[in-house]
Amino acid sequence: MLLEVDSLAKSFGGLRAVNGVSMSVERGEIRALIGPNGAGKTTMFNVMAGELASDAGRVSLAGHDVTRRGPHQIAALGMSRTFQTVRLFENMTVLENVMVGRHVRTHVGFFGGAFSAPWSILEERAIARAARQWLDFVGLPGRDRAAPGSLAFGQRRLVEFARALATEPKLLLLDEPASGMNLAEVELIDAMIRRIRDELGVTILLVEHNMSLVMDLADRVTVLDQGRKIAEGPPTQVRSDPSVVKVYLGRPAA
Amino acid sequence: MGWRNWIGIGALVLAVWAAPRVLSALDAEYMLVQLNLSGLTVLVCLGLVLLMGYAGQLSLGHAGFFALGAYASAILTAHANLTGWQEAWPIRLGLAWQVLRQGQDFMGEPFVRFAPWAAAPLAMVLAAGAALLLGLATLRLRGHYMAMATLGFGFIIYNLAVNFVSLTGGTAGIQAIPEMSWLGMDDGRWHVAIWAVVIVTMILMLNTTHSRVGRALRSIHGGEEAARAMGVDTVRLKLIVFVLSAMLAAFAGSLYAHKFSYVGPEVAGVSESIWLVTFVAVGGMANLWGGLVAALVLRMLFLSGYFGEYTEFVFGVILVVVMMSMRDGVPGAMRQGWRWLQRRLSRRRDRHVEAGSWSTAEADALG
Repeated sequence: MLLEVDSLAKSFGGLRAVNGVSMSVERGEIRALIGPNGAGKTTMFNVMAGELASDAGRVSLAGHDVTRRGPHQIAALGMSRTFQTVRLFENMTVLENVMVGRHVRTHVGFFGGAFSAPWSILEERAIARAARQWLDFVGLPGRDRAAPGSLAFGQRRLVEFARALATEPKLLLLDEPASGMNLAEVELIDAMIRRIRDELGVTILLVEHNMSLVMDLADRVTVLDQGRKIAEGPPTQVRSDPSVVKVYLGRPAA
Repeated sequence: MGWRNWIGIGALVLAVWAAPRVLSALDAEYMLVQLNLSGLTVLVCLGLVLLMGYAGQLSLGHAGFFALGAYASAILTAHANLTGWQEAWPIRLGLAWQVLRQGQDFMGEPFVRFAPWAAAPLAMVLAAGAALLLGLATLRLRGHYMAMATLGFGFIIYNLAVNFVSLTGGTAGIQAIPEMSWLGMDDGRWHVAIWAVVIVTMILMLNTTHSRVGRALRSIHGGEEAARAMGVDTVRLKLIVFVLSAMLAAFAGSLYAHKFSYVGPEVAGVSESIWLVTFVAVGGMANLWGGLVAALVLRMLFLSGYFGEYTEFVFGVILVVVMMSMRDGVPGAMRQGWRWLQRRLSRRRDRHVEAGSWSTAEADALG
């Protein structure tokens, strides 16, 4: 088990956003986390990624307990993420954005940087090289010096992918990677996610509303509703689960 | 850090070398002292550029760190007296290494005090400690809390300076602060020393901002949550920058104490802190060169008394205008102006294109 979540709970004031959810993700799996709006998916993401502190429960990544750890530590342990509204650093170039992704795997600090030490220069070259390779991988070669604001939305998403991949994650959390994408772009994202799992061996956990993408891509699907898990299993099984149909359509399947 | 920045450094070195000679020729040697003071201001502002522009933290109390450095140096070299412990081995060791020095004050009383060059590092350590405490307490807080805390810090330092009379001399301050050897009271030598420190600091900071650390700092500015998700330890970085900027300000304060031989509570004033923030804002926040030029020019303007009683009014207007319409300071406005100019020129060319018989490909190349 790469990711194990045990009885996770998180409340905001009186609202129980996540109410005792347990799940585990296997290495090499593509898992989809679905559910109606307000089901608690993004909250779970934020707790798993360390951005929010849970009220109860445990999260462990590759055997390490990461429940109380901060996002930067969790990134070092091998979990990376993308954001629902693509959050690139608008104040730097596309290449520099991806280079930030290398931060967690590199270590030259103030001293090496301030004195432009030889090991600092060497590391910088390696970082730039790796960043360019990741941009090639996601299909954006040669866009190094572009400003993120000048890219199309789909391309911005790809840059965010490259940045997250540059951290060399074991587990990649994708927050609605297909949102705002047209049919052709969704297919590209589908193929990209497959490549990430098949070629790089990265485990994927994605939150997604686009059902065709979920059905096509996911090995297993976990369904949340109002903070609780209501179903889990292969996509076809979950799709025909009456409780799942009910929350999405508001009535039991005919 | 790129050849352009090195050219800038070269130009700075040249300017520093030429300044005393130019002032001499213009019979304006009195401005050398003002240049000294401006150099110290630049030093503090460079630290603030890193803190405000790169780490994104607003410090409304940085004059407090400057004052901490100035007063620490003053007290250790002019007020303290370790004569009672003269036989203890640390004191004897200190005297042997010339960290401490013996002498008699103007009343004939013997004293054992710190040597100026030894007091400066201690002052920096003191400032680092204060910044560490302040930072640990406030850096995890959101939004304005850090700024308010630094404002409070500035008030505390000012108040201590005025009220803790036995330590700081109160409103009268501390006088007869010993000079640093070789520098003495010579404006020319101080000019070289201060601006040499500025140049070295510029080089180190330019290197840093172009390195992995600089990129991490910019990522904090670009989106703190995303930066954290990429493994950037934002709290630790912000703390380090805060402490470093405090140490730099304290060092400038030490130099001030030994140059002017007198330290009073006015160096800790809150308006001082606001001026510093104004200089950095006019310079473009995350712009080291902009900060240097803005601090130099504005401080010289301030010292020249050109605006007389209206000085604070003028600076208030500058700050409001910059915040409203020139977020990236003067450099940003210059860039916008340049781009506007380019657009106007190309539009004029386009009109000619329509009138003439140029092919569309060439027209595209122009636009």
